[in-house]
Amino acid sequence: MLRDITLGQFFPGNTWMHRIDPRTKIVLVMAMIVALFVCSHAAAYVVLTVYIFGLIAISKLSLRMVLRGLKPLLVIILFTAVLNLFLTPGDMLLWRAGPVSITMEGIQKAALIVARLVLLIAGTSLLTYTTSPIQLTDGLERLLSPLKKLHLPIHELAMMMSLALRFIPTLVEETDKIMSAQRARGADFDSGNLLHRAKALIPILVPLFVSSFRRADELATAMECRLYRGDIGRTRMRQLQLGRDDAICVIVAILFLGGAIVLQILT
Amino acid sequence: MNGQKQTPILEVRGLSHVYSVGTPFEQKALDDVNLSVDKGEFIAIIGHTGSGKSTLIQHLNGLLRPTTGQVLFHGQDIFQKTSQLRKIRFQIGLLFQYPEYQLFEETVGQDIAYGPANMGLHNSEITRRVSDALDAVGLPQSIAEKSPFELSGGQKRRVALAGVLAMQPEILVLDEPTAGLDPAGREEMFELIRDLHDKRDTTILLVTHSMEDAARVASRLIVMREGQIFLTGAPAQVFGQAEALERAGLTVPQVTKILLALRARGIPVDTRCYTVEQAVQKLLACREEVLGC
Repeated sequence: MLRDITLGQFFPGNTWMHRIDPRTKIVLVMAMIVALFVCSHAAAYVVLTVYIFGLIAISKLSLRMVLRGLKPLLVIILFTAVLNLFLTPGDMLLWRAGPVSITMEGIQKAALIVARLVLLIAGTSLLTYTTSPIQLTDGLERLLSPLKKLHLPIHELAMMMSLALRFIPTLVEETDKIMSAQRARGADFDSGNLLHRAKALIPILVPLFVSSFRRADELATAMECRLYRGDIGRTRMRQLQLGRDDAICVIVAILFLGGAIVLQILT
Repeated sequence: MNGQKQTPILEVRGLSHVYSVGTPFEQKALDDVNLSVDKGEFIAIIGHTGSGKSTLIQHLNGLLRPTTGQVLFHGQDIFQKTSQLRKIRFQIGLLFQYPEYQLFEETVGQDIAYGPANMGLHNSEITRRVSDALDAVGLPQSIAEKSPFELSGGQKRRVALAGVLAMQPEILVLDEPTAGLDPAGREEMFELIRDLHDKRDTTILLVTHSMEDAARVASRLIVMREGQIFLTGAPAQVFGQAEALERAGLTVPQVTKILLALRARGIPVDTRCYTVEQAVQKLLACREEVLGC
């Protein structure tokens, strides 16, 4: 149950996509998001769809996994699609009942919203599926490092983020374990009214808090024992290096994303 | 146990379990496990980390659902009526690894009362069971008013065990109850578990990775490997197959190892033993035999 959460999860692998520098991937994902919001024409979207699903294919991710990541957001996608479908005013009226109507413009807009959200989620999850959390925060830290000149604690923020990401699976596992242990003593999480259910969570939350604090304390001690003192004079085991593959990746992205934007402007 | 055939209290038939079906993390944890437990038995389940022991025991009280196969309690499939599952859990008490981390109440007494309260018992009965459970784990009654977070590690673990005992389960399943305890603490915990078996006639399934511990307390061993039952039988039978065990990457108790080494050097000692006391006997017998002729 809890272990089946897929959104934002990393799938280890050794494909071309996995080996691309995280900085390249982060920048390209941002470029993709911009392109998705700039474009609204069908032709441009065909290009973007080919681009994103082509990358998914290269990364050897199963389509089912990517689509499963959409599931938590399905309600939001459907909700916005339905709102757009019924509430868009337009000239080409197809159906009408009181204040609600379906117009050609409405259908187009709803389709665009669905395509935009699906591609947005598929594209961004491509980043988290193929980049380990450590690489991701490393990449972010390097990208944001110019801000260190403004005395922003970029390294500390990146470290906090990677620690948080690192402990998500641990906490999920721990929650699972504590839930099982309390179930073994007859805890019942799935019946009764809201108040009853909220009360049933206490036997999980108290041990979880206690162990989180204990773990944080132990981790801090362990880091200090290894002389961690923030960013000062810290070197890295794995240096990020841009290479030929990154260049290819950027060129492909420029061709597709640029192509889509050009199509958008021309038509 | 005495050859007389009785219906097993707990039976596992063709049990398989696969985690994360349909994801890249799909993993077969149990593969066609068959097992039957008679009333009053003391069984040790042994195996490496990842051999499927923990997955197996979580099926016994219905915390995990089998991918295929059945779990029968008194001949009844426990998954037949989902509404009955909670009642089954009161009868098959399961104590997880490091159970001290599951304590949550303000006082020890309240924490032990959590299980009985979930059973819907009367207050007087709950009070009686709490004090009874404290007795059973050898803690003073005065501790009931303390916060569980003030106690020492060993005491916390006893409180957790008391929390399961207070439900008065017919079967007690213990997952590595001595993990992380110091030698004295381990000794006390084993003493306690043995008492539960001998004096209170509780059927016990003990999960451990220590051959020594298993050999010392259990009347039957189940050795698991890669999600399957690899060997099963009385300790003497199982440790008699030392070579098979070693090939499976499991070790026999230290004393058995020594006797095996002696035998390999040509000393005709009987190696079918697994405690120091037995080893002394066998060695004495061997000396008599060798010097006698």
